[in-house]
Amino acid sequence: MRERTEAELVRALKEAGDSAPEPLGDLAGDLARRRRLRSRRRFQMALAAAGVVAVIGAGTTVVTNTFTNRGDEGAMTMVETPAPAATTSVPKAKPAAELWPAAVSTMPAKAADGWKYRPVTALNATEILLTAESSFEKAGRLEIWDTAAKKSTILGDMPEPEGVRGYFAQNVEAGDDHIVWFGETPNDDTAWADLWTMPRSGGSATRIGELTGEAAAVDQIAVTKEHVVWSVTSGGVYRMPITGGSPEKLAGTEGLHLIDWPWAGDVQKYDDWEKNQTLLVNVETGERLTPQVPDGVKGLRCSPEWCTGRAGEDMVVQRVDGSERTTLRETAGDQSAVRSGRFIQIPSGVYDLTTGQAAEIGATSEDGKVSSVGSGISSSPGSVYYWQAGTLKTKKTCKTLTKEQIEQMDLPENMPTAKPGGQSCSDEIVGEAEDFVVLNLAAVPPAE
Amino acid sequence: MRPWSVDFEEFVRARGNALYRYGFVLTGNAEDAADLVQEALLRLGDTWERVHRKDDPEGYVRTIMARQHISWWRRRRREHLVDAVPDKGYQDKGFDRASADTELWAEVHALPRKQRAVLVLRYYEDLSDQEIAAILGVSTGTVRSQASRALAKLRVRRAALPAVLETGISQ
Repeated sequence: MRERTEAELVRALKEAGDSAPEPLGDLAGDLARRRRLRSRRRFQMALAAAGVVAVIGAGTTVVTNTFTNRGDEGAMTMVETPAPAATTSVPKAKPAAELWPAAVSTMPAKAADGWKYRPVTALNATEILLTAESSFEKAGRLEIWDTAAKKSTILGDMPEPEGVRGYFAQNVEAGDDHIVWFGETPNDDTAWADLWTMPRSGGSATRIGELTGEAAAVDQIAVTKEHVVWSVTSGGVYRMPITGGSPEKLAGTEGLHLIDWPWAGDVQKYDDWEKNQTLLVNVETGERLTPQVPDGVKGLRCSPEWCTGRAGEDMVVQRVDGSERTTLRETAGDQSAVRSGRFIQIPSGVYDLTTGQAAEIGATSEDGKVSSVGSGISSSPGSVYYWQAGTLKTKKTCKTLTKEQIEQMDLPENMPTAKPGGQSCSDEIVGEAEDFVVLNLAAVPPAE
Repeated sequence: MRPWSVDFEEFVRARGNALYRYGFVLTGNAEDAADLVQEALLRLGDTWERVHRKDDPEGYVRTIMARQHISWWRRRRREHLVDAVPDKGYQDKGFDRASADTELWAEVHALPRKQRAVLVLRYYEDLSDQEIAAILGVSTGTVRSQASRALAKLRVRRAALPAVLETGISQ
């Protein structure tokens, strides 16, 4: 047989990609569903894939036969299923603005010069720390939005170091006197990062120092009166004087990751999803706590106030010592960080552990199928949620399925499938946010 | 309330289809492709807050997909030796276009997965052997040997020869 050329191979692969059978279902919606189900079927086989929308639990509305057009890169959407029916322990979520009127306000989504805002965290009951981005993910400025005065104040610029290609400022953390952040070149393999600070009251940013080697793999950052403190992906906590100097690894912090200064734990925020946290360490005082892990619970995460973990579809909440244990039915997510010492995120919204109330958050489309919400990007669990003001505008695009298209999907047996001639539709969020609605958890009144 | 950020949704909306096609070329079938892209995006969703400032979250996802593809293969092989989740052979009903391409694709699909992954990364993703090595967590030497074994099986001649030699061949 004749020899082939590399060009032919390139063409054959491209052809195969272009001719890939259309995926059945809506990728984004499936993702959201899978995320909820992941704890119980982490490595399920290919069968449930392909976006075949099986019915998952009661009260779940499923958009069937959604479908996206090949080549149309904008046709995916977050189609979400409504939260499971009300359960014994979690009350029906009320709109956040109704439940906590003092904590919800609107703010512009962009600065006057067009830079896009991204909330970092709430500094107090009225001030929201923001980054302003010149382009996607390029934070260039720190500002504070005052929810009472309805105006923003520029704190200062977040400069890029000279001569560093592919530089991105990363997580920002606010302390009493300083704001700190780190930057890195996330798209190359160099072990390098730099640390920056700005007075909490605003002014010029100062570069504290550069990091290389193990200390440069920053995963969380914090700030005290005199030091910038950070943990690294391989575990371990370091510090450096705000005024500059060399990194110092803190004794007894091997394997630890910062959670919320001065607390650190033995699991990384995002990895080891199944692993339980077995240590909670106060890095300042050396106090070491051993969280009680209930039987059958996975992914236990503890802050000094509360622990959350997953038991199947349920979330288990307790104090570090195992007291006040409660099971919240069908609420297991994996963004279970405790915010402001009392709030956790659940599928229907934000749950207040101290009052047992739940608030609905996020922007939703008119038909309720598509919605979205963002949370602040501070290194420690932030105290802000934000979403687009008003109703999300979506565009529905439909097309008719042919027999061939369905055959090409090569679906597993016993799965609900699209019928030839059926409509296959997807919703797409259109337009850009003019304003954000902001929920400031620091402004929620304390439990009575 | 949705657990992911607005940007992540935008990313999924914008790049989902392209990633799915990449998954299809890696796995050779629609279900595995969808599974792969979903799993990779789930992981991106988990780490979005941290990696979203990368200017290339897509590269991150593609890396996860390539690695996952190989590790799934190992896993499934181990777990289903008897039960045999069919590593489906190529079915040509989806491709009635150029038959030569189809034939070559069928052969690509029949390659061991690691070899196929190397080829896809090199010829579909257009990555250097060094980049491929980093993605798959193997040495550059391994990438080269896997690729050359795969190319030999497919009877693809490497064209990376000096122009003089090429001229010589064509004459």
